[in-house]
Amino acid sequence: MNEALQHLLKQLGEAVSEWTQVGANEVRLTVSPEHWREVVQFLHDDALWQMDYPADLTVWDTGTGFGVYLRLWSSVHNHNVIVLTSISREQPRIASLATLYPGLNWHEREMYDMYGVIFEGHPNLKRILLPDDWEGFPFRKDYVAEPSGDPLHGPQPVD
Amino acid sequence: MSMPVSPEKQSTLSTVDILSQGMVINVGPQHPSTHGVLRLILTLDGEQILHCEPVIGYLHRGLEKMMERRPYRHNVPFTDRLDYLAALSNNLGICQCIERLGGVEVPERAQYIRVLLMELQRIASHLVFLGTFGTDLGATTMFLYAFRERELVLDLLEECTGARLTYNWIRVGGVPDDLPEGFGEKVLGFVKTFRQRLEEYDQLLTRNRIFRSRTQGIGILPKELALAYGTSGPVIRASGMAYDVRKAAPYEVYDRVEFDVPVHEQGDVWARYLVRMEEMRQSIRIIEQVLRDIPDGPVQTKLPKVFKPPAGIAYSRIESPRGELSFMMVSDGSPNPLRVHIRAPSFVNLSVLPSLLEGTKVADLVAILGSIDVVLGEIDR
Amino acid sequence: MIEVVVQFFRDYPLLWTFVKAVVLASFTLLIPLAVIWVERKVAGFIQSRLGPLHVGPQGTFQTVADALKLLLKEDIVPSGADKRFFYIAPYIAFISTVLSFMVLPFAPGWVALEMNVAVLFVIGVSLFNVVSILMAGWSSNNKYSLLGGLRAVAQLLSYEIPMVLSVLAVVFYTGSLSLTGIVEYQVKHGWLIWQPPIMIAALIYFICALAEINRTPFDLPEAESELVSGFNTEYSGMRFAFFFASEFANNFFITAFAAALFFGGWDGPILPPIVWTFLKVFVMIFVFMWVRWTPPRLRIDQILRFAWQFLVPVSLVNLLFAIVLGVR
Repeated sequence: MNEALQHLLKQLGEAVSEWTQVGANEVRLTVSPEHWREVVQFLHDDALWQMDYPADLTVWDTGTGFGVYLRLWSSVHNHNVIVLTSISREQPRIASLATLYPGLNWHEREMYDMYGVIFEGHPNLKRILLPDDWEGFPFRKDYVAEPSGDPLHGPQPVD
Repeated sequence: MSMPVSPEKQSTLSTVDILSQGMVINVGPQHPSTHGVLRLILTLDGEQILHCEPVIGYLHRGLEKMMERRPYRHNVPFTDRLDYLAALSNNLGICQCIERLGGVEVPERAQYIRVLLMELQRIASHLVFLGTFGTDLGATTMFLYAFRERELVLDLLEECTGARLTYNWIRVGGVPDDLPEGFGEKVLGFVKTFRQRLEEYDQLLTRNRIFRSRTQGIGILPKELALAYGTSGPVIRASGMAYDVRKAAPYEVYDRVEFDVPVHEQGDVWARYLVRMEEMRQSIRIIEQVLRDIPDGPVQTKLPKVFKPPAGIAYSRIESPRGELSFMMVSDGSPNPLRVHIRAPSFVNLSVLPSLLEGTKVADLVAILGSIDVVLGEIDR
Repeated sequence: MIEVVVQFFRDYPLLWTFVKAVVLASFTLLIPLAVIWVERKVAGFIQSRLGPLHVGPQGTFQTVADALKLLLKEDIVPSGADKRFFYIAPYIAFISTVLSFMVLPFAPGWVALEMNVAVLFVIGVSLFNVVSILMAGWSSNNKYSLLGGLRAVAQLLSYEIPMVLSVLAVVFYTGSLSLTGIVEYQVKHGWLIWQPPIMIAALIYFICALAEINRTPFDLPEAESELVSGFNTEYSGMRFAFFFASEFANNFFITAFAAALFFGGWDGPILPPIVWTFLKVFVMIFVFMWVRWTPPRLRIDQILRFAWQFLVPVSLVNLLFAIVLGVR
C-alpha cells in the first residue's frame, strides 16, 4: 500500500491535494475536480493499484458546493481507495466515470437525479428514480418542497 | 440482434429488416415475477428478448433526505424499510456507520449477538429467495416449503426482538437487550431441523432435471463484467470472484468464526442458486460457533443523550444477504447528519440485468431476475 | 315409472338426444367443481397445508362458492379487443370439451352417442380447444395473452402428434375405432396396459396428456410467473369460469379417455362399472396433480425439442411394433 501510494504521489502529485492513510489497506485522496477522471483512470490502470471494483459513488451538498465521494476496491490487492473532490454550486460539472466503470452508470444517474450534477461524457444521463418531468433536484439543501396537487409531478402536501 | 427502428427510418429499410422489428412489452410494475414494483421495458422478437430497459423509482420515498432531518439514532428505524427481507442487516449497516463516525465501541457480547442475528437473517432472506425462485420457475410447492422454515426463523427473531419484519433492534453502541432465556437452545433446535430440511430442498429442486435444464447455462455473467459493474454478494461469487465483505474487511466478530465463502465459476443462474444454498449451510456453521463462543458481559455502550459525532466522513460496509451494503455519512458536528448515502446491493446488481437478458427468452427473464434476487425497497430507497 | 319416462323419450329420438345433451353439458359443468376441490386438497397435502376447510364439510363447497362468485362478477371486455372472437372463445373451449364427453363410455350402455369412429371424433374435436385458446390470446389485445396463445398453439399441436400416434397404437392393436369396442376388447382379453407396445404408448400418452391440459411442467400457455395468466389474462367473470371449467373438465376427460384406452374402462371386479370408471379417473387425476405440484416448468424450446426429437420418433417406432404385434 505504501509503495503504491508513493508511486501515485510521484505520478500525479499535483492532482492530489490531500491524502490520509486509514488502517492497513485504505487511503483517502482529495483531488481537484479537473483531475478527477485522470486520477481514477490511473488508479484503474496502474499495476500497483488495479482498482477494478467500483464500490460506491455519491454526492453531498455542503451548502456552498457539492462534495463528490467515490469508493473503489481492488480485487487483486484488496486496497480500498476513497477519492473525494468538491465542485461548485454554480457549475456542478464533473467528468463521468461510467465508461470506465459501467457499474457507476446508475450511481451517476441517481446523483444527477437528486443533485443536478452533470457528469460529462455519461452515455445516458437522465433521471432514474424520479419521473422524467420532475422539476428541481430534491436532495439539494435549498430545494423547497412546493406542495402540488399531482403526486406524480411534484411533492405532495404535508399535513 | 437488431434493434427496434423508428417509423421514419422504417421506410428506407428492406422487408427483412421490418419483419425483425421487435414487440415492446412492459413487464411490471405490477407483474407476479418482478418481486416488487420493478418495470422492465422489453423488446421481443417472438420469445427472444432483444433489449431490456429497467425502470425503477416506483417505491422512492427519499429516505436519504429524510435522514438528514433527524438525529442520528432516530434514523435506524428507516433502514428497516430498505431491504425489508433483511431488516437487521440494514440496522447493522447504519449503526456501524454511526459508530465509526462517533468512535463508539461496541461490547463484545453485543458483537456476537449481532453476528448471530445477521446469520439468522441471512437464512430467512435466502429462504425467501429459494421460495420465490421456485415459484418463478413454476415449482410452487418450493415456496411453501421455504416459507415453512422461514416461519421458524421469524419466530426466533420475534422472540428476541419482538418483531417479525421491521426489527429495529440493532442500536448504536450495541443491542438494546440481552438474548432471552434459553434462546441458544432454541436456535440449536432450529439448526437441527433446518439441516434436514436443506436435504429436502436438494431433493425437490437441486436434483431435479427440469430445474437444472432451466438454470444451467442461462444468464451467464462473466467475472470481468461482474467486477466492472460492481456487483456483490452471491451474484459476484457465482461468477468466480471470492468477494465477501465478511472476509475482505471483517466487521464485528467475523474474523473469529470459521466459515467458507462458496464460490462457483460458471456465473449462470444455477451457480447463483448453488451459492445461496451453500451460504445457508455456512450460516448454520457460524451460528453454532457463535453460540459456543459467546461471552458474558454488557450488551450496550452508554451514549450521551444528544449524540454529536465530530465532523467528517465515515462509511461502513457489511455483507447483507444480497451483497455489499454500504452506508456513507457526512457529519458537520451537528446532531443531524449532513448527508446519508445508502449503497444498496440490489441497486447495483440490477444494473447488470440488461446485459444479461439480451438474446435470452422470456421464460429465462424470470429465472435470471429471480437469481439476482433484488428487493425494490432498497433499490428505490 | 322410470321405464315409462325412458320409453317416452325413446319414442322421440330427437328429444332423447336433447335430454342427453343437457345432462352431459351439466355434467361437464359440474365435474370441474369436484376436480378443483380434489386439486386443492391434493395441493394442500403436497404443500403441507390443509387446503379449503370452512365452506361445507372439508371445504367441499368452496369451489361452488367460487363458481358463484365468478358468475356474479362483472364481465369486463378490454377496449381494444376483437369483440366477436373474445366473446365466443371460452364457449368454443367449453363446447369442444362437451363434444368429447359425448362419445365417452362411462359404463356398458352409458354413452351419449355410440359412434364407431369415436377415437377419431375425440381427436378431431379436441383440436377446437387449440383454436379457442388462439382466439382468446389473439383477440384480447394484450401482449401477454398473445404470447400465451402462440405458446399454446405451438405446444398443443406438437404434442397432439405423439398423442395421436400412441392412441393409434391402441386402435391397431384392438382393430377398433370405437371406444366401447376398445373397452369390450379389454374386458375380453385383459387390460391393454399390460401389453408391451401399449405400455410405452400409455407412457407417451401420459406425457402428452400433461401437455394437452397445460399442467406443470408443461403449463407454458398460462405460466403465471412469466405471462401473468397467459391467454386468459383479460378474461373475468363468467367467461373466465368457462375457460377454467373446460380446463378441468378436459383434465377429467383426458384421464377417462386414458382409462378407456389402457385401463379397461369400466372393467373391474365387485364394484359396479360406473364406480370403476370414476375410481380409475380419479387415481389418474391424482397422479397428474402429483406431477403438477412437484417439478418446475420447462421452457418453450425445451418442450418443443422434447416433443419433436424424442416423443414423435419413439411413438412412431412404437406404433410400428403395435401394428406388427397387433395383427393376428
